[in-house]
Amino acid sequence: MTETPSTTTRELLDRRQIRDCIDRYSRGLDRHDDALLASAFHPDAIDNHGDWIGRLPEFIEWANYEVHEPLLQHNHHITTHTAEIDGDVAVAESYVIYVLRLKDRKTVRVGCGRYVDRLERRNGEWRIALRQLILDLRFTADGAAGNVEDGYYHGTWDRTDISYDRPKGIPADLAAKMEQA
Amino acid sequence: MTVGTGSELQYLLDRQAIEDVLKRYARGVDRHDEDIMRSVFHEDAIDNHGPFVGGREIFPGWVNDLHAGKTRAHSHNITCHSCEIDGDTAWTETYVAFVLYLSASDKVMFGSGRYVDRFEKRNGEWRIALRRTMTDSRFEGDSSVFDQPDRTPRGRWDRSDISYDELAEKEGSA
Repeated sequence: MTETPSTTTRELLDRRQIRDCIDRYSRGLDRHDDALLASAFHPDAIDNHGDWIGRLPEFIEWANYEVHEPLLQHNHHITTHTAEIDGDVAVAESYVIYVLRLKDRKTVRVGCGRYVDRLERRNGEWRIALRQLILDLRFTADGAAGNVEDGYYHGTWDRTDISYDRPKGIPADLAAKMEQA
Repeated sequence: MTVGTGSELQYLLDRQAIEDVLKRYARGVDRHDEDIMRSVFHEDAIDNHGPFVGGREIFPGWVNDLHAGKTRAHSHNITCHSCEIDGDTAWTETYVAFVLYLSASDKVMFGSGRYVDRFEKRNGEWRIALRRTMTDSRFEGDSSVFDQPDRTPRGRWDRSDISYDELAEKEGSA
């Protein structure tokens, strides 16, 4: 294959869009945003979480409603990520550190795993066609420290989460804090 | 978007530049490097970290004092990232896994949080104009094993850290 600027740009765009798709899964899951979570998958995609395997919309039901019922908050951190692209198909491996804070306010469950994905570009858009989770490590930790109010914004599972804001200037609550200082 | 047009390349360059700023922030914080920390913010930027609201002139001192007062070591790991670019403005959400080795005990605190930022591109350079910091969860672990001597170099809070031997001096200027 001859390297031309357009070939290189295409490959870089593919890499970026693939990583964006995988991050979008985490964000959709962690914000319980059904539409955003679904947008990481093709409509006929299969998700295999071991304990659970199936397709949309059942996956959304399981992920955003059933499995997170005992939890207060969770984050799915994507770290080491690689993708191999061959035309309109890609295989990716993405390490995940997932942190689950339980409603008992004492327990945090942590897992280190890897998503092994097959992604496909259809109509110009990269999405997951098949996702498999491999669990490498898992441990339980003391989550009591999370009960101390630290004065920071905290996450919510709806659109009041500040990550949905688009403030052009200084948000009112920050302006008020600055006045007090 | 037509493949190979300048706008696609510019988009990629913009995304990379923004990501580089996010990573440079983490590096500046973890090395207590005020110059690096200042270099990621615009002159009139506002940073909010819990009780702290202020700009780049006072943020580095505040965060260094906080970390030096409460911790012996720390590591801020940038993980998930989403970015919407709208002309010369970008809205980003970036996850951080921050790990703090507490001074007062043999414990490590592992926190999951998110930076919610508004970036602005001025004079061709992307920097943070507004940052709000969130914490989602924290847990603790036993770090007493870290003090047992071994030959692996430890991180430092000044330019004697080994990373400065390799990384270029040009870390960005205030």
